[in-house]
Amino acid sequence: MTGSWLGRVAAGAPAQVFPLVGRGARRHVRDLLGRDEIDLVASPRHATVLLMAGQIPVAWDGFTDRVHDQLPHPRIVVHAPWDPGDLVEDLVAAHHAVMTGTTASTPPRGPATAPVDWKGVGPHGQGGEGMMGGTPYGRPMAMTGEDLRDGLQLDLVGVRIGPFLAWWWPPGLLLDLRFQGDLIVKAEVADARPFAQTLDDAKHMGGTTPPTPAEIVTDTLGAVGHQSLAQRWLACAGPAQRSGLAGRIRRSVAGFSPGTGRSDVDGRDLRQRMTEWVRLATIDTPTSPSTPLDDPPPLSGAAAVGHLPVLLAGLTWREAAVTIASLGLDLSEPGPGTAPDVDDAVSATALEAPG
Amino acid sequence: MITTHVNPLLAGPVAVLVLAGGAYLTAVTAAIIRPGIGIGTAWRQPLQRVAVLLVQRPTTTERPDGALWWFAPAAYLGTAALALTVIPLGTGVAIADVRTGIVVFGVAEVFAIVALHLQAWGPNSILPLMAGTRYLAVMLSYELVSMFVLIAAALPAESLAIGDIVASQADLWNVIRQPLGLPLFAVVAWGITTWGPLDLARSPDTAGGIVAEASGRNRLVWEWGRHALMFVFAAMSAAVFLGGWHGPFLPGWVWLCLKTLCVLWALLWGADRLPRLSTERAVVITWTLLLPLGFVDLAAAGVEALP
Repeated sequence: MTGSWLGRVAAGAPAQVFPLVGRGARRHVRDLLGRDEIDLVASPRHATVLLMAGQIPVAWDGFTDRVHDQLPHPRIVVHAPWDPGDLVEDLVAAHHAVMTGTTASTPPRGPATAPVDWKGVGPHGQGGEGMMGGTPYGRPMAMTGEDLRDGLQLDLVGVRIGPFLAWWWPPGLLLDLRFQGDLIVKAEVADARPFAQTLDDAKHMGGTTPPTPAEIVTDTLGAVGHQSLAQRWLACAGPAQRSGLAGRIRRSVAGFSPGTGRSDVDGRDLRQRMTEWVRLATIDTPTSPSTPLDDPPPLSGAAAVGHLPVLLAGLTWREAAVTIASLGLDLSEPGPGTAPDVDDAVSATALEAPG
Repeated sequence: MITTHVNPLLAGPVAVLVLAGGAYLTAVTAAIIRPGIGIGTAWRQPLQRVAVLLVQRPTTTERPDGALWWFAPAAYLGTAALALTVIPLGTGVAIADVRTGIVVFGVAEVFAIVALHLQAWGPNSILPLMAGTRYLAVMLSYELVSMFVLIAAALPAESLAIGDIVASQADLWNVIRQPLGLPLFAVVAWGITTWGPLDLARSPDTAGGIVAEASGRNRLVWEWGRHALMFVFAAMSAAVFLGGWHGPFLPGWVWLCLKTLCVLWALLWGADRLPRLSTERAVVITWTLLLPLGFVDLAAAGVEALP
């Protein structure tokens, strides 16, 4: 039978995995990048396996369900809430099973209707002015606003991005952005609760460790689009081996203009921050206290989350995404607060189809 | 000069074969360049990935433009076929060597850009649309570079036909006569295929950009077109800058294949190594550096062609 023959060939391909990263699982997911049997794909539409790693709060089911329903059939979900154990084998086996058809594809989780109704307000019923603006079906339509650069009136559109985007995205970070083209006019942190990531959450409940400089470099390379360089960097055994790649990594962000993502807090822009992370990752004692006082450490972690609105305004989305990855944001403990409004958020990719 | 044309009845099958084989070679070369994958795995991985896309069932988005959903990938692949028709396949052999071959290739490039925009628009989704908008900002700048270097290559041949341009390199290859041509043409190849430094239309921050919503056969056709276009650009570079079928001892088609594979490897290696660009940086570099270099290339070719 043609189907089964094709399925067997497809089963031999690397498992096409889209990861949803919860509490304490980021390092395990990042390690998958170095495995030939696994492809960490850019969009859930490209995946055969949805990996739900670490502890993802129940309140976030709305987001995970939306990402799940974006995977094409046949699809399968692999849960790895605690110790990942044989995660690679599980993912490969899941991909194999779903491609050969020995495991049925998972049914849709979300409702098959538009999350928000058309609102019959305004001259054309969409709720805006004239033919512009408004939020028909809960989707904000473009409305003109003043352009940051030359004062022209250009279309403004609001987009929510997060809390999951790709393996390099700080999981749990949800942003409200106002765009003109791909230029961010205004940025707000809708939910500033990137999940705490620990070295081994199951064994050391409570204690959190910030991401290491080497890990931040890996994430930034992923955000830039240098996945193969990130793999080489990840495969390095230690600081000495890493220093061989230092020049190439510094050059990898040379495509961004000087001054991009500059913060007054550490006085560094994206490129200088990356240079400093590479330096810290290639010396033997990265936490050496001998750092002079006039050379503050790069802006990172919980402190950086509060600076995001200032940092991101005026950047294009690509510059903003790389800046976010270079900040090592997965430090803060999940704080109190209610789950954000799921209905009009963008999970992983935008505008999910109903049913 | 092109003296032999492929039989019109065979032209379709020949084009499909070359585009499929070329796309496969491109995928294998790209896999070899990635770390940790040897030839033993690289030759079979593209076939396995194709099988995955064939097994996957189609998806849809909320209120997509249904016609574009299929038309855009087909059109993108079609531009690769259009460009292929004027490229030599052996000594004096082409599918259809029209007198205005350079123009046909340029038209194929423009159609590819249109297909990219349709692909960004089709799914009615914000990230693909944003990726397409960025692409709009950079495409004009490198498209002008393409025209300059191709016209410069046509000047010594005093003809717009690709066969005549190859014939004009019997004594001296254009890569030596016009050293700026090939590197500038490589930038155009990366732009049209959204590969490497000009990956703005499918960067990770947009979850794959113009293909963020594509899966299964839809994505397969798009990727086929993209890989085939990369191969077509390598073959065009071999013909226009590296003397085409000219070379000692071996038959012309072997020389064409060898040169095409070398260019293909260089294009993919460069795409892996060169930094990714922000929109602003890409526009600044193309307008202030690459475009003036294109002018110099064309002006130098013009001075040389003076009687």
